[in-house]
Amino acid sequence: MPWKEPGKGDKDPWKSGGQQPPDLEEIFGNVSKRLQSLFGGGKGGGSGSDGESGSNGLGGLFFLVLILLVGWIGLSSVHVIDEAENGVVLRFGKYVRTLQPGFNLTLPRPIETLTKVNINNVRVVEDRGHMLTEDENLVEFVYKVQYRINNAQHFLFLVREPEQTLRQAAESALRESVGTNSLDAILEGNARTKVRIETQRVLQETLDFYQAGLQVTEFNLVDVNVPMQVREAYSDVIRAREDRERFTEEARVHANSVIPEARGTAARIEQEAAGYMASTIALAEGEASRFTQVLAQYQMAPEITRKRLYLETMEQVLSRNKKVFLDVDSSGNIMYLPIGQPDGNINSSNIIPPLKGTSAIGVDSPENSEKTRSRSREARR
Amino acid sequence: MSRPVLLIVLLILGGLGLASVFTVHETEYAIRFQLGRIVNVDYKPGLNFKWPAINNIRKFDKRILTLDTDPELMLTSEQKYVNVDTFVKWRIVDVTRFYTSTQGNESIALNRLHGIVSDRIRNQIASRTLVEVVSEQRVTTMKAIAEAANRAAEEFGIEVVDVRIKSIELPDDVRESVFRRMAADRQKAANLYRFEGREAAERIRSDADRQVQVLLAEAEREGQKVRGEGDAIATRTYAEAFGQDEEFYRFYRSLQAYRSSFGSGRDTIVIDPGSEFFDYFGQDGRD
Repeated sequence: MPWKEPGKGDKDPWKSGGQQPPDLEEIFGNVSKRLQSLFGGGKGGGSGSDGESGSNGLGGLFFLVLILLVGWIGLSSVHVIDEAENGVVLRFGKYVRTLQPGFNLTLPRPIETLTKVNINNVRVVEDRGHMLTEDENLVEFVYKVQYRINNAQHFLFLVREPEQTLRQAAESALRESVGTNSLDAILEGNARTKVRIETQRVLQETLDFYQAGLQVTEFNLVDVNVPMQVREAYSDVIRAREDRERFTEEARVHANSVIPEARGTAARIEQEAAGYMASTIALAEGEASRFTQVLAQYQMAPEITRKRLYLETMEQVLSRNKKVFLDVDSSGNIMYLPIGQPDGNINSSNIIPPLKGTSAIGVDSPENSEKTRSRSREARR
Repeated sequence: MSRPVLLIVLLILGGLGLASVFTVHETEYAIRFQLGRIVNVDYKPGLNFKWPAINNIRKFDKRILTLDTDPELMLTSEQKYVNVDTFVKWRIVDVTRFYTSTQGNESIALNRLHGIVSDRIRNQIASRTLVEVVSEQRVTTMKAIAEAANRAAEEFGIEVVDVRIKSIELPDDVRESVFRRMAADRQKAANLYRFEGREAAERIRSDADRQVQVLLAEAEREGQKVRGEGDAIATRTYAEAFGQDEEFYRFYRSLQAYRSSFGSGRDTIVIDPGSEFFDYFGQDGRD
């Protein structure tokens, strides 16, 4: 039974009042009896005496009032306080006690009044605004304050409109800390945490100073942005910064492709040189060896070897090429050579001076031209 | 005494009882007037007594109250216009004075208070620059306003608990120019970034090109050295071999040269029939 709970005994005014449950039952019993008699009396008004009927009617009215009174008392003195709530009880306007969650009793209205305050529920206020930074730029904020009531008495008694007060104080506190930071610092984020913590601190200090009974559990910056009018310029800076990275990256890609390629080319140059060296030496050695061997044989029979070598060479040379015989002694003749004629199958010609003696070519002599022409024809065959 | 009479007497007594008590809430001050004269202002919350009919009671709020007005245009010390939005937290501390100076009317009190505070704010803003108000001296400014306002509000029985600047805004036309300045600043920054990027890219590119050039030249140098070495060795080898008989080398080499020079078969050779080759051409050589 709630009114027998320990610790509430002396505060419970009903205990000494002596209104025990049996009494209530008795009252209810009486009430029903009286009600019956009241209505019964009303119906049978004509049969009974006037005095009796009047007395019964008055008594009935008395009990009706009593029922209403008991109902009123019951309704206004029994309270269930929710787990998240505190119940603040005022007696004739004066604070007397705070009720904890559970089943509670108070004196009926208007003696005691109860106000329930939810002290666990976290409330949220969201707001936005633009504000001046330290460097006289404008920044837009969307922020969110989460708070709860941490002192029901203060919340109820010390500040009018405490939640409105929280809004005002939050706005002021945020602007105060934004005002001490530059726009760049706020946008780049390294000052954002500072702003957030600073705002929460100032806000809580302000609320404590007013004794608003509120505790800020969290202050969040939901969105931080520059005003609409300059947003394009700001995003262009971001693009520019990306461009900077991109330019650099492209140059790196270029560097990374040309340098290895050059290294490859360098290696090729060195390899080719090494190849040249090796082949040159090999050729030289080969040729030297050949010469040395031929020389050895030559020295054994110089005259005949010399002649043989000469003739063999001439044979080879002359057998392969067209020949023009020219009597060098009859100098002064014009010589016509079939150079560059398509049917002669001559693409590039070497005009070789006579193997021995002076050349007669280019000497203007009509006498010899006929001869030369005929010889040339001969040679073509 | 019959029962109805008793009932009426009880009702009258009850009525008188009710008329001689009043409640004071935790959040209230109460003043008891006796025929228009203040007789008591010192009431604790709870049930209190008065004389019926000749006493009446006025109640006032004891809590911290708010004065929150529209932003006002003010001038800073460097003659810049700003819209200053403030709110004032105040409370009644001397209820008698409050009642006598404002007829107990809260809106009259708010008007007076607004006049006082707005004047003090104007003074404080006018003695500071915009930067000082916005950032460096914001807290001191607010404290100074509150103190000055507090002194003036005392005669109304009001304590100014706190004055806080909610916002300091630039007027719309000034704001436009701030936007233009911000945009120009950003433009500058963007250009700087792009040129920095170009610069860095050019540095990297030219450095790479330099490296390429150096690499190739060095390779060429090494290559030529190696070629030279090869040529030197070959030359020595030739010289040693051919030096054994220079005259024969000249002869032998000449023959080789003839052979390779006229090896293509496309040449035309003009020959003097008197050459050594024809020693036996047309005769048997025996003279």
